[in-house]
Amino acid sequence: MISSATFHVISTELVVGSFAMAGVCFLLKALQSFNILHSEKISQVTDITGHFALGFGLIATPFAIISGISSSPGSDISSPLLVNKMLLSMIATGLATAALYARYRIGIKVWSSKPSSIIQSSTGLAASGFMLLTASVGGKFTRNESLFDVLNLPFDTIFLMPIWIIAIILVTGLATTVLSILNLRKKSAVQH
Amino acid sequence: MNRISLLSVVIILLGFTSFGGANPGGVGDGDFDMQCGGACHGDSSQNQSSPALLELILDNTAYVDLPVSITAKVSGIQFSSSDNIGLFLITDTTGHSDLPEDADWMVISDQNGGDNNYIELEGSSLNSEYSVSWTVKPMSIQTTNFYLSIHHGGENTPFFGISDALAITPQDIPENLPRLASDYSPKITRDIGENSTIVISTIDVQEMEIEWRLVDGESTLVNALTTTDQEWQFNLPAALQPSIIEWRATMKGDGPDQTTPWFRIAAQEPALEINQTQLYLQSLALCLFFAGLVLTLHTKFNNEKETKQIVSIEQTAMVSEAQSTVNDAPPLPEGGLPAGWTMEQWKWYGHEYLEDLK
Repeated sequence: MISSATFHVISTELVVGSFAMAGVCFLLKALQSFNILHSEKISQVTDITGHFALGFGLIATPFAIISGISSSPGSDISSPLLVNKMLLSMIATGLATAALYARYRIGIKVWSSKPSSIIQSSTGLAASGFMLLTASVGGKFTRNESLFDVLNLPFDTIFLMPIWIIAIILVTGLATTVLSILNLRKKSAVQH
Repeated sequence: MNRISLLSVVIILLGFTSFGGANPGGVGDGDFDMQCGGACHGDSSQNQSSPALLELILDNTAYVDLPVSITAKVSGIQFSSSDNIGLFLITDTTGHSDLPEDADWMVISDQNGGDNNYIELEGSSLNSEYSVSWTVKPMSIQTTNFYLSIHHGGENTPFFGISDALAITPQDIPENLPRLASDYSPKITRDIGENSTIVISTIDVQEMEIEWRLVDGESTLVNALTTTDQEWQFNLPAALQPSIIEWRATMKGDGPDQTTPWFRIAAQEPALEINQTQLYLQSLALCLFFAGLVLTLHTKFNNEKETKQIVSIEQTAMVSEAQSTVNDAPPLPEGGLPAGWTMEQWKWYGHEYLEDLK
């Protein structure tokens, strides 16, 4: 048996490594979206690698979140930093899931128009950014120093909403996600 | 050329990294073995011998089941500016199973207000000597060797050092010795702004005097009040900011007077109280919201793209239809479309016109 703290270290290293790789790939795709970089080979490689890394990181994320909660002092969320870690990692999870689903349903055509290409690359980049920010907060929590210390981000401040606002966002999010999925599935069925 | 530029950028970026094995931010206080599981210093094989002079001193006679204080003195470290010093109180030098607990000793409190065998101090080039202490309690009569180990950095190099052994043999408690109850465990933390009533359980104590102070501050003397038989209490003022108060009791009875080690109580920010269900719901809501937002944008732009394609297809069809209409029509006579005729009319009635001409 290994302790939850050790397991958390293993899973976070997998998550951060994968998301960092995905971030680099989506950055290159973003540059291509703005016609700054022209290379068919880079386009293919970054598309496949970026989405694979994003997917792999996404698989490891729940393990990192669960082991992180159980390895925190008192196995509880007792610090603003841990609250922020939870929120940031879930936002990253949502973005990464959407990026992967869009790529799966729309296929390679996700890169065929400029707006769609910008949305996909920005989503991948944002997912990577939020996940790296989560890792940075983790460093701040365990050893009081982090990669983003230079930015002086307010990690000690938490943004907790009233329950009725949460309910509205939850319902809106659920509705838009389900409708979009149905819409994309329908299109996919028509195209096939 | 591009590859050379890329390689140059990578080499320049690598040049900015530190090759030191030290961990300048430290790892925080905790219960760690001598090598800190490799966490304090990245690779213990890179350690160099620390020039620090290390000494352990037992502050009083150690009795089984009674707390006693061990003081560590550190000198001779030279820092360029300021750095962390990590100090371990350990009972073995093999690097494993070396916590005081492994030798049947309990760490009751440490210098930083916790109950850990490893603590970190902020070192400074202005300070040449450091003195820290642990309050520990032996659980059995057996001679134990204690060591002080140090981890620190300097000029990007990790340093490691270890003291000579301090052998401690706890004794049996003499009869009538005024003392703390063997199961007494002092409170070591409290919230900021909280007035604390400290309750002490004792044995064979008739009178108790308390001395408390802020770390390195002036002492204040108070008499502890007895509540029930062999239970005493006194009050500590509320702290306005994170700080540590030390206190010790002088116990008087039929036996010789006894003074406890300094116990530390740390005032901390109150733990965050949060509705966890609300937090999980908010996390899920944000996850779904951002996923929905991205997918909606994709759907929207996909729809627009398809609409454009459909319009383009329809326009193409119209042009083709018009062309085919023109193609289906009979050939125009010399001089073009007869006066007053439209192309549509020519398509349908042009044949008759041509036959009339014949």
